Amino acid sequence: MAPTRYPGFSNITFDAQQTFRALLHALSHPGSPTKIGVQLGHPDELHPACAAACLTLLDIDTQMWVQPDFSSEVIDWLVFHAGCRFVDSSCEADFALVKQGQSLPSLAQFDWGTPEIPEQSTTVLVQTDRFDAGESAVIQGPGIQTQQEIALGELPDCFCSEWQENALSYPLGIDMLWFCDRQIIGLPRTSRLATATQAPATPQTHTSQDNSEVTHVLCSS
Amino acid sequence: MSYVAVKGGEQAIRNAEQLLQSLRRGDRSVAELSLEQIQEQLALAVNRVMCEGSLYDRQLAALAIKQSWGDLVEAVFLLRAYRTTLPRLYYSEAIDTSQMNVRRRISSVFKDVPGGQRLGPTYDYIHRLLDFKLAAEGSGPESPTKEVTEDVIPRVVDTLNQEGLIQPEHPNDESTSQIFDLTRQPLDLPADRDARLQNLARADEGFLLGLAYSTQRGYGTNHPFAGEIRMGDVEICICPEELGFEVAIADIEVTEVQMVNQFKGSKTQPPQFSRGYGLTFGYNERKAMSMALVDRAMRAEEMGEAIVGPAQDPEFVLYHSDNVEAQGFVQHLKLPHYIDFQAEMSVVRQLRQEYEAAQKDSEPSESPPIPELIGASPPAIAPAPETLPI
Amino acid sequence: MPTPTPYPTSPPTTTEVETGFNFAYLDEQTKRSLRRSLLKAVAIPGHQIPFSSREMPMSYGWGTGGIQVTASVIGPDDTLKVIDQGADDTTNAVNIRRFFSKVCGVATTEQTTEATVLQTRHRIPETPLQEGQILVYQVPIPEPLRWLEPSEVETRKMHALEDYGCMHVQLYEDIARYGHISTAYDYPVMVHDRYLMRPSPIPRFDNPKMDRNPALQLFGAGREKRLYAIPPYTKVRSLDFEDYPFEVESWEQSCQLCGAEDSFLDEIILNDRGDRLWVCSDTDYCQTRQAQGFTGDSAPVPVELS
Repeated sequence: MAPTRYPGFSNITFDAQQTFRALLHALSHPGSPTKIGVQLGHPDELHPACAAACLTLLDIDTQMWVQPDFSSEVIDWLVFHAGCRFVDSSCEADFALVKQGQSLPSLAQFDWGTPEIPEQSTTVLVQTDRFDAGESAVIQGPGIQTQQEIALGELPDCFCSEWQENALSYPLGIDMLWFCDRQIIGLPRTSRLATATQAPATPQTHTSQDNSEVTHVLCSS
Repeated sequence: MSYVAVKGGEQAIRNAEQLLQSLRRGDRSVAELSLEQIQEQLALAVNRVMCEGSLYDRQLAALAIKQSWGDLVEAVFLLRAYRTTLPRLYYSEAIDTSQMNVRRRISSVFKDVPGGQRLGPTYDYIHRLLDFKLAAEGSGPESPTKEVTEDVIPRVVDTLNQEGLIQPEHPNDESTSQIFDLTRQPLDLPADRDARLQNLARADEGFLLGLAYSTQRGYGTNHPFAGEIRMGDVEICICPEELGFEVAIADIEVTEVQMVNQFKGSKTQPPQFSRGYGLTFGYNERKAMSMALVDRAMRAEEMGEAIVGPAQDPEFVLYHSDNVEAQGFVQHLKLPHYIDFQAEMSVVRQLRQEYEAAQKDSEPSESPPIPELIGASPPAIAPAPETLPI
Repeated sequence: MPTPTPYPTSPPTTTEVETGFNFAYLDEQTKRSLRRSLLKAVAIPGHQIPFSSREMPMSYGWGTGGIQVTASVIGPDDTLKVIDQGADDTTNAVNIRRFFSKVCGVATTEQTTEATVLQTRHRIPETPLQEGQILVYQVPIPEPLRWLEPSEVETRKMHALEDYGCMHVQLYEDIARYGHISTAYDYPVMVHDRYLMRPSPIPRFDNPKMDRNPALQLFGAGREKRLYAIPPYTKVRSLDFEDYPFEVESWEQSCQLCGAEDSFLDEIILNDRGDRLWVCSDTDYCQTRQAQGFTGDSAPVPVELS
């Protein structure tokens, strides 16, 4: 085991609890940035929020796929502090770690779960430089009162159509956690998305009482 | 009309605990039990608690027995709840029972076997007469012979195996699957043999005994023979990744039972014997034998046998075998259920009104009124649907 | 191998905290495993996620699922409320609250509005929950199809295929027999139009509160080793038929202590003549109303028992 010079959480119990609450909040309020407050020592390639999420979620019981763009410093740090196991094939991973939103692999490369075990799917952790740049979109679904505007920075061109397919495959599909510096955005498979400019002409003045009925309209492009 | 709001739950709980503690201690003029006494003189109780509690620690098991007032199911629960707080640091290597330091070893399928029959300490041929000498605190006799053999005694079933007469057991393919661990993973169905055996090893002894007995009385008969029963000490080894070699960390006492059952064969397999396997912490033959019978019974589907008894239904056995789970859910009926009962009452009242209205409508006006239901047969209301009080 | 997790000491607090155990009793590995399952549960609303439930110092069947969920969620900054049957003062609620004070040293409250985490058995508070609050349900049997199909293997397939016809048949048989649906509590719901879910044995009176609730609702079944969730603002529909719409219980009475006409009432038998008192099952709701000056037609006489 190669040593790492980054210390990780200063208090495993309380730092992990705080980070988990931020992750839980982010995933149950999709698209809305949630800030994490914990301080930890981590390799520069990881954003603080992403590093904290890794130490909160990963351990010997999890299989991790790490995008090859990362240096061995990140692997060493994860091995030392989380003890997770690594897999070469992204479709076998419980969690996948992606360095940059632009380089996000096709979602088809991950595990989408099975009809009996949809929870077996890969949770994808993605880092991005901005939460206020790139093409903005509107999402709807559980966790969102009416609708939520979301921007995840630079993304591969195919992401929107892939996400649409992801949402249509429900309950199978990928859940994503996006990280930018100290912020987290959750994007569960239930969030349906379309770029704001593609939103249909139908007025979106619905109330919270009918959000789930109109979600599919937003995705039609 | 006045209303008394019940308050003071916390004080009541504290009082209950104190009452329990003082009753547990009993008459203070009688000497207090020490954990050493329990470990040494109630060793079979300690064994059972360690086995069902999934934690091999004689001292903690003795403490649990003392604390639980001798209620072994409660002691198992105490030990399990403590176990929850312990992180798992290593998985041990599989124990090798062929290397056991044997204290007892019998086989009922051969008159004599290599290594011999060793009766060891057993109740089997003892006349069960109450020994009043024990009541007079007499110390028992010294052990008559050297108790443990250091020689390696081959397993009878391995001998049968040389002739190919017994179905080989296939170890888990470690490259594709890890050994299932019920203490870390929820039971997954259909459960593989590793998960089933772990569940049975933790299972309530009484439950297993009853199920095993049911297979002998026709609810899933599989003609068992006691191929071999052995009891003694085996070595526990771990292989820490950072060291890269095995380290022995302890010796533990286990009882192993290999039941041999006939198997008529199938299109792809020749007629041969099959195995039911039982293993317990400590000396507990009754449990290990029951486990082996139930293990074999649960292989009915794999063997293409007709499923006629509950012991052959793995889902039934595995979901109901754990006494920590079972005692909790049976006893939770003591918790307040007045909300669901209220909801149920309002439904029954409504149904009752409707029933009475319907009766009234269908009665000719000159017929006598419906008698009051006092001590009579229950009202003929259609039964409520199958909602259970939970 | 990861370095063994050291047992950290609990943060300073004014309550009597049990030392020698990890914060919130569970070890960190167990919490991580529960937390991973909880995130999946939020992502697939109403779907039951198997988790590696542990033995707790309370019996299975006595709220260990809810307790484990709370233990994996709760932190030193939280304020916890625990109710059983709607009441903060039932022995079981007192006991669970006492447990968390002991192993976490967290602040506890009886006020619904003050709590960040609420653990409940058999009720949803009358006071509407707010965004950011977490409601944790104790669940005895998580599988809505269990009485219709005892096999887990089969019910899992039925969920995969969204094959819920048998539940509709059972409810319809009720209608054919009694003229209405007679399920009084644990009334099945569809979550996000996909998964049939058991809401735990809350009275059906509480079912509408689950629909598009701003709070996060988490469900834990310890003995059955399942957890599930309803994220905020998620559609939760009680099963019904067009000609037999879902209805909740109603009372001719109002609460005799606070006069509330909109709350679930307990019927208390006062004497062997059969005199009864109708009072709110939600003790905080009732007391808050009484403090605001609302009254019913009977004044309470609280007495300390031990």
